[in-house]
Amino acid sequence: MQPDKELQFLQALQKGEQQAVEKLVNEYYPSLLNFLLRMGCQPGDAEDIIQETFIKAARGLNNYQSRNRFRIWLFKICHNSLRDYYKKASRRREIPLDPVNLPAAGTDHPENYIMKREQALRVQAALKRLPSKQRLVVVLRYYHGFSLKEIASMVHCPVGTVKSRLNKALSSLKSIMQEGDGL
Amino acid sequence: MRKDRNQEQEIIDFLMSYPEAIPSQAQKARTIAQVQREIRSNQPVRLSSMDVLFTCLLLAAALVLYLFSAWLPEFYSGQILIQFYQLRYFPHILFYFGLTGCLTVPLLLTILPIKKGGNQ
Repeated sequence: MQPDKELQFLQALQKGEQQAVEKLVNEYYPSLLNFLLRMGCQPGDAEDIIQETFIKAARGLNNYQSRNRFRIWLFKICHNSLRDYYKKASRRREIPLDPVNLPAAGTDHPENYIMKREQALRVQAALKRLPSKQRLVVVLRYYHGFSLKEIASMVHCPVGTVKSRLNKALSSLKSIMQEGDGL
Repeated sequence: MRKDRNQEQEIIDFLMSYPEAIPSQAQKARTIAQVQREIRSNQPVRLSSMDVLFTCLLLAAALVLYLFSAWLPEFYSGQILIQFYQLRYFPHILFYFGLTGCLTVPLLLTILPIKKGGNQ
C-alpha cells in the first residue's frame, strides 16, 4: 500500500469505518492465517490468534507510527500474540502431523489433491523439524517476502543474526530434503 | 556458486509446494464484527458542538441565577426552603426550579455517554 493511501486507510480505521475494517480483515486475514499455519499452529488456534492480533492492532492504532509499514507492524503483533498464546501451558499441545491440519487444496483432481497433501505433509514435517527461530525467519522470508532488514526489526535482532539463522535453516532443510523418505 | 543458488531455489520450490489456506467468509465476518466493536469501544467520547452550546447555556443560566439571588438577598437556597413552606415566593421558586431543570436536564442527557455507546 502506498504511504498516502495507507495513511487515509489508517485514519478511516481509527474512526472504525465499516469499509476500512473490512479492508483490513480481507487484506490481512489470509496472510496471517497462512503465517500461523506454516508456523505449525492448529487452525482453531490460528483463528483465535488472528482475532487477538486484530484486536491488539485496533487498540494500538492510536500509538501506531507510520514510519513502520503497517504490514510489518501487524505481523509483529501476530508473532507476539502467537508467542503469548503458546506460553500459556494449558494451550500448549503437540501438533500432530495430520493432513486435517493442512489447508484445503481447492477443487483439484483427487489424485492431484492427494499428491499435494503428501507434499504439504513433507513440507510441514520439514518446517516442524527446524528450531522455532529458524522456522520464523524462513516463513517470513520465503512465504511472505519480507526483507532481512524487516525481519530483523520484527524479531528484534541484528540483520546478521537473521542472515545466519536463514543460512542454518536452509542447510537444515537441504539435509532434511536429502533424507527424503525419512520424513 | 551456481550450484548453491540452484540448491536454494530447490529448497524454495519445496517450501512453496505447501498450499495456501483460504479463510472462510464466516471467519472473516466474525473478525470484522469483533474488530469494529473493539475500535468503537476504544474511541474517546468527544464533546459535540451541542455539548458546548449547552454548557455555555448552563453557565449563562448559573450567572443569571446568581445575579437573581444577589438582587433578591432573601432568595438563596436556605431561604427558598423557608419560603417554600410559607408559600410566599412560590411562583419564584417554581420559576427557579423550572429554569434550572430546563437547562440542566438536556445538558446532562447530551454530555452523559449513555446514548453515545461510549461506556457500554
